[in-house]
Amino acid sequence: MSILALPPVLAALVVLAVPRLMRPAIVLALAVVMMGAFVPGAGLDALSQLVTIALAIIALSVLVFAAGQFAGERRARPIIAASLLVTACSIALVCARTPDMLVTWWVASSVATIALLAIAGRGISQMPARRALLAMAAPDLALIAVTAASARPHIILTVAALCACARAGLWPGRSWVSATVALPTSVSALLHAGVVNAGAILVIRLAVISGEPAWLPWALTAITLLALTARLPRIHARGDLKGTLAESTVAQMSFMLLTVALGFAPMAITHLIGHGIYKSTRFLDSGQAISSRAALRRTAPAGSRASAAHRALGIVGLLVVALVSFLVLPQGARPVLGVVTVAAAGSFWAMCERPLAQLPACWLATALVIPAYSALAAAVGVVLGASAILPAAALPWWTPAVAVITISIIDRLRRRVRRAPVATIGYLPDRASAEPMPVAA
Amino acid sequence: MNAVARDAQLRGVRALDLDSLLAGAFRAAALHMPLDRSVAINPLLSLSELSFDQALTEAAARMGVDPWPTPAHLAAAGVDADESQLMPSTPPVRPMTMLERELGARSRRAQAARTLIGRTLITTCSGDPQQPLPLRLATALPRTLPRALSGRRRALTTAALATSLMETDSLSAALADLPDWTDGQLSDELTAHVARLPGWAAWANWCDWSGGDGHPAALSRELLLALSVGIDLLVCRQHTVEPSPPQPLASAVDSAGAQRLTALERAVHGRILDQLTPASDTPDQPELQVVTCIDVRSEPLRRALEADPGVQTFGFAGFFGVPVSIRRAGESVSYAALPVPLAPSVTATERAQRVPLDADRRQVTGALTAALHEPQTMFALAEIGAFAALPLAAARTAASVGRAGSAAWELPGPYDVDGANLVDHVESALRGMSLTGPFAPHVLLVGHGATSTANAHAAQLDCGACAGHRGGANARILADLLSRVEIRGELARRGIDIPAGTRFLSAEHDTATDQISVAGEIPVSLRQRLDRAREQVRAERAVALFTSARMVPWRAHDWSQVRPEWALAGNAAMIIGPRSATRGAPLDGKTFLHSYDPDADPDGALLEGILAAPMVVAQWINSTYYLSSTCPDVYGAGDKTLASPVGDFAVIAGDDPDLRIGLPWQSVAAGDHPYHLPVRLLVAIDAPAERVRRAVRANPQVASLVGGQWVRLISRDTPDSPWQTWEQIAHADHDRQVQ
Repeated sequence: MSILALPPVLAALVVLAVPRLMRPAIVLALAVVMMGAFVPGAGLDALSQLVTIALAIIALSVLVFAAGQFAGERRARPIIAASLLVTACSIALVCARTPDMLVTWWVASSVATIALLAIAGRGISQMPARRALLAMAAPDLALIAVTAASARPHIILTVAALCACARAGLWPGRSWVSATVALPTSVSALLHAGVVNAGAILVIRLAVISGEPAWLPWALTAITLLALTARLPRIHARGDLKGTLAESTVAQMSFMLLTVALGFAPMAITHLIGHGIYKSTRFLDSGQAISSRAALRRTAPAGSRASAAHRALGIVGLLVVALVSFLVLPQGARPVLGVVTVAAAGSFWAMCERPLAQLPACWLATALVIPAYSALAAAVGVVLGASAILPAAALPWWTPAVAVITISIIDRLRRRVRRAPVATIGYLPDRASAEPMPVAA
Repeated sequence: MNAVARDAQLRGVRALDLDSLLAGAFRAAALHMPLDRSVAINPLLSLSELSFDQALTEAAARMGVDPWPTPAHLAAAGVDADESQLMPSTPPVRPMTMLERELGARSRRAQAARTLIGRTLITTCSGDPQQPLPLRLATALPRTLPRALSGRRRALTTAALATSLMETDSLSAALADLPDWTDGQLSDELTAHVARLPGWAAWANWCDWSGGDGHPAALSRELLLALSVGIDLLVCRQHTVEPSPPQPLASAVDSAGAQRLTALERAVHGRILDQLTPASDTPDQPELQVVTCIDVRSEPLRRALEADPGVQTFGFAGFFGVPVSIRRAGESVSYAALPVPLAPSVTATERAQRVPLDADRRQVTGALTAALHEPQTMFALAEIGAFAALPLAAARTAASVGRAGSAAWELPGPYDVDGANLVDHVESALRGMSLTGPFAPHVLLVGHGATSTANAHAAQLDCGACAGHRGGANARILADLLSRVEIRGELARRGIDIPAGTRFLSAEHDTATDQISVAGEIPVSLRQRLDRAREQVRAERAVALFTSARMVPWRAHDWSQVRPEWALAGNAAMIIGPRSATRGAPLDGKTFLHSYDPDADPDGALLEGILAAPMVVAQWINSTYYLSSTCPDVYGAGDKTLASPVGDFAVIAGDDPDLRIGLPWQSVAAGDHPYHLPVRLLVAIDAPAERVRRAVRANPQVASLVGGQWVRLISRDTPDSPWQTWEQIAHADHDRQVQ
């Protein structure tokens, strides 16, 4: 079952022994993983297949990137070998089905992650490794303990949920997830795309196997909601690109665990895959931001701000698209449809805040997202089938959408409250318009 | 006494000479231009009235750096160093700010204060440009202070901090809190604040130096120091410590370091001079004349083109002499496409032949990306973007792979050129490049730029003479002017007779792929010549990049590539003279080559101009490379894999809150092996000593660069006579006066 972890492990050995074969080894190993996921005898269910493929795609792009970025440097071998081990553990975790195997590979991937952080941090910073160790050691040790003691499944699941939160960096204070930006691009990309989200798999698997205690979803909901509202202001506070991406990962992970808690597993899996691809791409492409932002600044905002009527028309249009999608698409699409409608309307509104010549094009882009993403999530639901039906899925389809609306209202209010006292502070006058500097007599 | 000083006196506050305080504090601060158009400026520009050794010593004391070549550099140059040179020097420690002195530089509080200042600035300068900067700064203060600063019982809060900063609303008010300190102590204190965040200091320094250029993130030096001093004072007093004045800065010349530099220069410069053979023949009736930028990367191209004896080449500043500001199609602002010390007097607007689809696409994606970090959108839109982006990225990769092999791209333009004295600019350009006849049937003006992908430091690969932009546009503008009948007529009246059969063509050399694309139709034979030259240059560069020639152009389109090309790494000399003195010499892409015909310049005016602008720019590039190699942590950008963009003007490294300036480590070294050897620029001139002496002394800036040994100037009267050093040139004059 976990045999798919073997190719990356072998590739890691090749990387250490024959660095010249680094790229072929990476490509070959991950190609084998992708093909192996479909071998009938491998005994993988749809959940394992889907996430394994996604992991392999992400690892492929990140590791080939790493091989390019570290080309000719001494650190290339250890970092890429450790990254391959992290990938192997993640794949093994995704393919595991019994509680024992799940816990084993979960802990193994934690250890591999901390090792990768320590290796990549040599000569740069050991802070990320220390933070990760601090965050993950206690819950992981607890998980080993309860599993070894053959505790009741509900207890194992509860501890696993805590482990998932630790892995996703949900605890208060600066989390290990945002500390990883101290390390090279490819390391952050791999961790943010393929490691921090593994908690969802662990919890979904254990919940399907053992059934959930009634209070667990609510506890998890509370934790993730709290983490979400606590984290959102930080996204805007960071400023630098990688820092912003890292903080947004924590918020995204909270949301993903929230959907797990609410019982919408297919939605969580869609989110997990999409976020992984998105985040790894954004990290790897981060150098482009200088020229693309500068180009945007040089471009004339030819249009004017949209009038209230146009805004209203746009929103109504989006709602019509959402309604049609609601009627046409299968029932499984509805939880995502709710969220994505809120998202589309919100982004359209945000776009109207600035002068824009291409408003119709922007509207069209957001409108297309509604049916496209809902259909995609529904398809994921169909593919996953029985492998991801959570016991708690008794909540109505609109729950996630309401959660998103609530979160964004809280965020808005906080930002408004935050701005008020400061706006009255006129400190540090704008020197361009101020008096000339005093000159000594 | 002005109003501010009077007001200060009325309030019982000492009137401070802020200008000289700031100038003193920022003496060793570099100048960081926005990264999207970054141009190398001598990082020690404020110290340039000192000699090079003194300036390095002072920078070492002020910034806590070891600015001399290391034994590793000597080893890379193959120099056998003696023991005295290898003596390990103890690098000076960075001066400490008041908080660091009182609580210890490595204490958690001192580090938290540094982080707080840096982070506040990052948030401020990447914030919404619609709001005024001070307001952004106020909103950027974190909601809660780190525990190390606030104390166990949260005694210090953001509100208290903001209020206190409001009371001490300027640097003079903050410094007025230190009434017992002498001006010298205040200056040393401010120096320590500059050294604590040298990257931010370099950004503020450029903003003040250039007037900010309307940049939305422009930060003044005073604002930076007011924040830094204000926070230090507050935290000190929060912990009931009254800051004590700093000890005076101590500096001593590192003689071992200076010896290493001399040994390295002897080796590197010696090798270049050995290559200079006595004059070789140049074609009398050239079939093709090529004018390139003086950039060191043009040298291999010129050598490759000259493999064909019918080709004659010239070197000239890559903006081709027309001081132009260019506005591209679909853009709302123009850029000054000329060396930083000059000011534009001609405007060029690109005629939009193609619909600027790019601009539209930019707007839509820009709007969508801006919306992505809103909480209501980030949980769904980000991923759908990813699912859509996957096939797009695959398509883009495929397309770029295809592009890497293709022959050429379309040069932008043509341009509507408008300005007074166009003929004057054209004439002085032709005379400056020593291209006054005979003219070949085809004259090719070659600008340069570099293609790279996902590269925050991309502009550092472009043409420095075009202010960190691609130079094809400038070449095209001069070529178009030279094609105008009325301009050719006026030039003929002034003694430059261009035959009617001569065609001026413009081209752009992509220094990352070595493609040369030419505007308009060109004869097949010319295309073949360019393609042959491309293959030769590519093969040469492949060796230095440890790869095969086939793989070289791929680097430009590879988003993981930290080193699309070596750019100007290795630059060590500038040769001012006729091409006959260097033609055929394998100079390895290490020299700036400026064409100069001593016979056509009896009064020395041309030489004066070359020393005053192109040489100064070459020295700026040289010193930027020098300090990025010797002090990668303060004057260099360090490890490029850690770079995280801030706004569109800078990067930070990982989660350190200071901006990173200068060149990334990957641009000057390969792993642990130094590639760029830090030496001063050797300026070798083919001209009579008397003329060189006059030309150097004509311009105070040049005189101090040469006299202060920032460049090593040598000259020879004729290609057969021995080289004379500047000391000999200057002393000969002295001796004559004595006699």
